[in-house]
Amino acid sequence: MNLLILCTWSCILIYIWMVKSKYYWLKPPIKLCILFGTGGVLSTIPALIFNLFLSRETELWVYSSNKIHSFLGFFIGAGLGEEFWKLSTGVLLLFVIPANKFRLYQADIVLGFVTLGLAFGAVENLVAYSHLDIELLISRGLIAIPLHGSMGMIHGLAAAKSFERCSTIPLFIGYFISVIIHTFCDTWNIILPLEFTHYFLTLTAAALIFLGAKTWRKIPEMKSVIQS
Amino acid sequence: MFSKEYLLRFLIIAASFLCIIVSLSYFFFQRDLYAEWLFSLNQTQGNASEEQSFFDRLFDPGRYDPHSNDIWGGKNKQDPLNIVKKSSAPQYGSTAGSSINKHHLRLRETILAQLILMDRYGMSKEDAWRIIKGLKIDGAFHKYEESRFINELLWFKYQDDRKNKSIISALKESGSALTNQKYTFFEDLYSVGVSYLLNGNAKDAKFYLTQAYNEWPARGRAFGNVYLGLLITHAVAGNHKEFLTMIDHIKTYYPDWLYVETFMPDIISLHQIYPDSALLHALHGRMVQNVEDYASASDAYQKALHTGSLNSLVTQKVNHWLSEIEKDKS
Repeated sequence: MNLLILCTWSCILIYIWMVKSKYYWLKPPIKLCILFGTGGVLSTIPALIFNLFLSRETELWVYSSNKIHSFLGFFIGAGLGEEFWKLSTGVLLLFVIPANKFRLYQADIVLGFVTLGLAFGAVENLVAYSHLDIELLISRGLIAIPLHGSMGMIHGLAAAKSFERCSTIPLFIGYFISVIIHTFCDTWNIILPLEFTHYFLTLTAAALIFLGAKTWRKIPEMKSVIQS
Repeated sequence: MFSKEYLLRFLIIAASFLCIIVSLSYFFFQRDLYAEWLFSLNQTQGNASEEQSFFDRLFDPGRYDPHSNDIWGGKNKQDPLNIVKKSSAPQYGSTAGSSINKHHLRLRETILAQLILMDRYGMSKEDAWRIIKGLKIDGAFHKYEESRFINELLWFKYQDDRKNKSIISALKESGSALTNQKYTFFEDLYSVGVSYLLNGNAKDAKFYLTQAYNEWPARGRAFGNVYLGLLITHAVAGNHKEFLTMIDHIKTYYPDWLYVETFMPDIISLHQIYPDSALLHALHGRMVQNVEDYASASDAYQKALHTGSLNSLVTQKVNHWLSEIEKDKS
């Protein structure tokens, strides 16, 4: 139970803050969030298989002693892979859910994708990092989980924009932005192997959390993305 | 649903892109396990002479206790090979010496478990290697333990193909790499001693096996192997006095003397490496005589006597053993 709390506390806090800070007139889209949260949990399975394949069958292992291999491992496994599985799960859900049964406002879609990212981060914590010490798990709660949430926000904004314009391009832009951010957050110490480099990750995370919070406050509570 | 075809388009294009990236990764960066082993081995040898920085030493979880009585304290701590030459006692990890730290112990236990799984349950060495490489245990001992694993793998290969000279040569290399580590202990000394013996270098084999003999903390079956190894070394080196002393106590110190099938292939291999060693024939004869294989024993004794290089004491002893055979036969 303690482990579960340690791995998920920040997801819960972020989610509660997002709901409380946005939904004043409307009911929060609980059903949609449950659906996206389940999608986030399930999307860890292909991500895990994908990362296992990379680490077992190729030289592109994130812990490789070769820095280029390690960087590519992070880029393909964590960046391209994980972000694809998260975004594609959300997009697939948006594709299959009937528009008349779910309210698809911009804020709802963004909240759905953030929920998906948070669920993904929580399961990642439980499956891959639960062996870490308490301090590290807490620091992952402060950095890694909000990062997954930020990526979810980028995905959500891209999906909402895609809905508005009936276009694929915003999704690709959102995907590649999240891939670049995710890769750079994971590989700061490979790109710049200096003593103080690990602070970059904290700074990046802080900047993303700040920008994410600011963006979330700007998103209107009632703005439909469906073209009339 | 079909009004949202742009979402489907994204899924198909992105998934195809990811498939292409993965295929290219697999094509251009397919894992080469053998190269990884060699790399690991080279890294181990290369780091052996490198001095650690102050902070490396300070935060190294496997660092020694400068106040303990073991040999790693004092001015020689950076030069394990030198210590070995000075006949000190490399007892890192032994019950008598400095205690092994828990992370190192965990790694060693895991590697041992992989070796057992490989030996008895057919686990592939690739899988074992992946498990070991996947362990998130940091410490200067990691490379050393990986070298030990590689050394053990080479011993497995040797068991399968005793005549392969490249394996025997590689055993010497991997064993030597182990002796240059600060974590070197008695098992490594035994391993490198036997590898020198197989490489025809009885002088160095004697040096390391004597060290292993002196440092071995217990007198069990494992020590019996050291005892037999040292006895064989004295035999091939022509040390008559030591040979006679040790052969008289073989049943006491080598509990596996009854199981000829375990050690006789090694002795037969050594006949090819040291074809002129009369004492080795005498040893062969005595070992098979102990299990009442009189025909083989007589044959080996005759070979020993015919070489003409035995001194009078050993000649007398061999004749005595021959008479014992005649007596037992009658």
